[in-house]
Amino acid sequence: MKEAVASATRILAPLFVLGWMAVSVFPIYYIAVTSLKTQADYLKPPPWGFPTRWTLENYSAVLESGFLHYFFNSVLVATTVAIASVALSLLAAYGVVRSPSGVFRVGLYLFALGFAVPAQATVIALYALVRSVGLYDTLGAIILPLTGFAMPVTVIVFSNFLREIPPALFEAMAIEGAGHWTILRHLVLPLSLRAILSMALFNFIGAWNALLFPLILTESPEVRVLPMAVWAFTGQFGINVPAVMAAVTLSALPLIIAYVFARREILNALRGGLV
Amino acid sequence: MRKYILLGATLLFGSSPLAQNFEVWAINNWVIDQFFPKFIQEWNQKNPNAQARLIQFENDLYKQRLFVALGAKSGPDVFYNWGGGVLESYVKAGAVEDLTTSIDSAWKNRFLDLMWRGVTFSGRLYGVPSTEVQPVVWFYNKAVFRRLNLQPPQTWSQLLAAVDRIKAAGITPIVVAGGSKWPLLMYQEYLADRIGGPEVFEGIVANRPGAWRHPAMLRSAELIVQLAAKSPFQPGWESAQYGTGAIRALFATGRAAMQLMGVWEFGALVSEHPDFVKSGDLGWFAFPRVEGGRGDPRNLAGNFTNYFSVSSFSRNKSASIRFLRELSFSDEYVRFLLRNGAIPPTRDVGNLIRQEGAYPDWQGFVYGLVEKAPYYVLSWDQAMPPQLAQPYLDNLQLLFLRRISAQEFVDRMQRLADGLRQ
Amino acid sequence: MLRGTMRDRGLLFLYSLPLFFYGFTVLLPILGTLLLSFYRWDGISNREWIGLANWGRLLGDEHFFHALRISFAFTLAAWVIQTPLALGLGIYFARRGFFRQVAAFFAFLPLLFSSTAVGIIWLYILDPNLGILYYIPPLRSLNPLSESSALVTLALVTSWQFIPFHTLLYQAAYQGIPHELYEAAYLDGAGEWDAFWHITLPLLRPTIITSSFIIVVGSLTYFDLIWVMTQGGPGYATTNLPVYLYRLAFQSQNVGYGATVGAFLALLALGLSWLLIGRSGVLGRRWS
Repeated sequence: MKEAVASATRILAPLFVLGWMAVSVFPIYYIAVTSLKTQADYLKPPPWGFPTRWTLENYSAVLESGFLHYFFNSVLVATTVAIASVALSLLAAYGVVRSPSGVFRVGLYLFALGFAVPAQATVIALYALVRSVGLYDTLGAIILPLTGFAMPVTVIVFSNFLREIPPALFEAMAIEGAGHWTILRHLVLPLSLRAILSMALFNFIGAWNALLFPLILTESPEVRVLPMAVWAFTGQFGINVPAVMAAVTLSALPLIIAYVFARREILNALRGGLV
Repeated sequence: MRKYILLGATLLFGSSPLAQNFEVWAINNWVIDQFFPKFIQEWNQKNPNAQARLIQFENDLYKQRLFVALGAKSGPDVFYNWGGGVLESYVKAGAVEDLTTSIDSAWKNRFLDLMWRGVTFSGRLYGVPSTEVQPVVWFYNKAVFRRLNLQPPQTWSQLLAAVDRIKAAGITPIVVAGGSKWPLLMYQEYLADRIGGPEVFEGIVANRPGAWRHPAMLRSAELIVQLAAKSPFQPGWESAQYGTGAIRALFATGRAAMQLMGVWEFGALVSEHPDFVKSGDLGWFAFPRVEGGRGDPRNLAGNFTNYFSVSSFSRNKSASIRFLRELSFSDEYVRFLLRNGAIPPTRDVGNLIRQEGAYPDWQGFVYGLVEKAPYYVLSWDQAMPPQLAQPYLDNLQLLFLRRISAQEFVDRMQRLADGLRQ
Repeated sequence: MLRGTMRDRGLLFLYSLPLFFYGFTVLLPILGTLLLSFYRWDGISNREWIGLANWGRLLGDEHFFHALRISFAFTLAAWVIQTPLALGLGIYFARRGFFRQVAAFFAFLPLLFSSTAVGIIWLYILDPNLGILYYIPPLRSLNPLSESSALVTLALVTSWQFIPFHTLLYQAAYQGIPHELYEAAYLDGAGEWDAFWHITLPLLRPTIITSSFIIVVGSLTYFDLIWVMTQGGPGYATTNLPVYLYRLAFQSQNVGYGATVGAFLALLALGLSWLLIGRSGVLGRRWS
């Protein structure tokens, strides 16, 4: 009986995976194909068919509506978040690993607790806070909370990673009179480069796709980031589905390109230290 | 490269715009999209020390953005709004500039008296009429009606009968963006008025005890249930959003027969489905009367018009007000509206329609409605305070979905209204 | 190990930097939300202290309990859909083979899009009148976003987006299981199903816990996609806690009460965190 199940699985598995591939890929194909159609073409059935007239007009329309500017904003935000979150988390993890005494342990638990707290729980107070500090409607308003919320996971991953470094190495350097900074630069950094890059990438992706903070904490088109831009496009070009699809494609393009060329790095990033 | 670093730093830590520039906030609609960029460009050329900047958001998003901005007291200088209870709540919070002294009689006489009603609170003026007069009417597809040998309904039962006939022919009788919810209230605002007259809604706005329990309110809810029971709407109506324009496409391609919507829909149809409009198959009729109803069938519901107001936090109020004045007196603006089938809220426009109107039948029809209407009720979700408007829309959708009965709808709304009175 | 003590100022300084930043950007707003829940505020006028009134109201609020139920229902659906599929796919992709690698490559693509984009795409695809469903006659009568089916539809779309991520977790974990274990089992006469049940599953338990935790937390706080596709509708069919919060604070202008829901969410999340992180030992498994 068990063998029957096993053989059945062996035969059905590829079929199922094929089906799953189709389900995964079809919407993406749909986006791509639609973005190359004219609007009139889109209304002609079937929607998944090839365009009768291939066109890049949607892409130029999207680019002309200031898309490059939003793109630049997203790059700025995501890069800053990636770098800042990783730097700060490394310091925190270092502290935790180097000193298991009271203060540091409490700190670790504080970081861990933030792991599950949702952004929505803080967004209203953040709005009031950001207003009073005068950062409302700036990219800084988005970067700060995104960095903060990226820290719990990053700190946990780095802590687990740093704990793997043999204590003897730390002691050796300390005996030679090295201060914390030196240890960080010459020991920790080189050894944890993989983990650092992974988490930087992970946080970059998270910040790139974030919607809630930009939605609440900014308003002007100057500081608009890509998820907001895509959504705004549905209002502006709502009926022009091909244009919206072009916007979606453009906003996901960097990640797609990165995936195609640096697949292994991205996968490592996502596996991080969570396994 | 340095430019980008500088730009980045500015974006990160906030910029300090020149005190003289000002922002004009509006929604995405064809009037703003097509006329304002050029108008603002010309203004900017003439006013180098007071540059205007247009910032637009999608309709539903706009309302929230405005609310957040005004709450941040960093609000826009000039902002588009619908007047009524929502604007009044902002006025009460001290966020809107009192324009009474800035509006001289020439300015006041430029527009129809009725139009000023939406921005008049305690006798003071808090906004300026703009865009078009926007009552709600029925649109219908003449080709479908011809094929089924139907006439535009003149009574509610005729409307229901038409729904049955159209549905039997396999066509969607009515399209509605139920997901956005506000299109649903158009049904109730007319029904309540047709059944019980203006006093029904006036009681609700004044939040008089028991206003929601007025028999006409209950009856209007019952009629809605009656309509909904026929499943007259397109599949997926309850999640359909107005902004995507899918509804419009269904209507324009003949897959649906009727739509109850504000007259701005005409302009949208012209720009998105010009062939349909040119074919002459686009028809219209006023909301039918309800048999046994006390309301005057000439009464209208909808937005008076849209307004522009100036926020109290504006850093350049004088330029903002001058900007609005120039907009109000712009004949080019009036002609632009007329050329696109809209009806400006301006006085004495009847002749102009005949001379300059691009769609004189349509425009004459709407202007005639506005001229003759004894009473004009403002869209309910704009007239009510926001604390009531949101739950109202939620409950209305539930009523259309027939998840709650007419009686329960009325009871819930009464409870909510009572809760606000304290 | 040379222990840094409380008197190790350098270490303390290095540590306080991230702690303060985190405190300012995350902890402070959480406290702020809690504080706001004691006020009545409409977002524009002045705040008004009302003590525990909002919390009292929360306890009797049927909409709140409904949102709570929806949150849990959505989470359950997401878990039930994602875990078995991701587990199966993860194991499948872990093994060698050209077809498997190609499939793995494509199967990952959904994760590259933001929740907003995913929501918009599927909104178009699932439109009963103009989308794919309409053009496949047997499927024409389907209404994916109706009141009764919207929540499941959203769970399915969410799963479409995130299964690749969990597949990755399981794939990596599976690849970490030593081959010898399976070889030994087969030598003893065990079948594939036994191997799965008695070797694979137990060894993957930590991964299942991690993955489940991420699904649960993510689902409870999911906002973007739901807002883009249904705004919590039709009716309240897809109004989970974050959506309820947003509507209260930013649509009904009831910011104080919205903050109460937010504070509740934070407490719920803290409780879950404590439960799962404390138990699973992610924090200090090999603490020296």
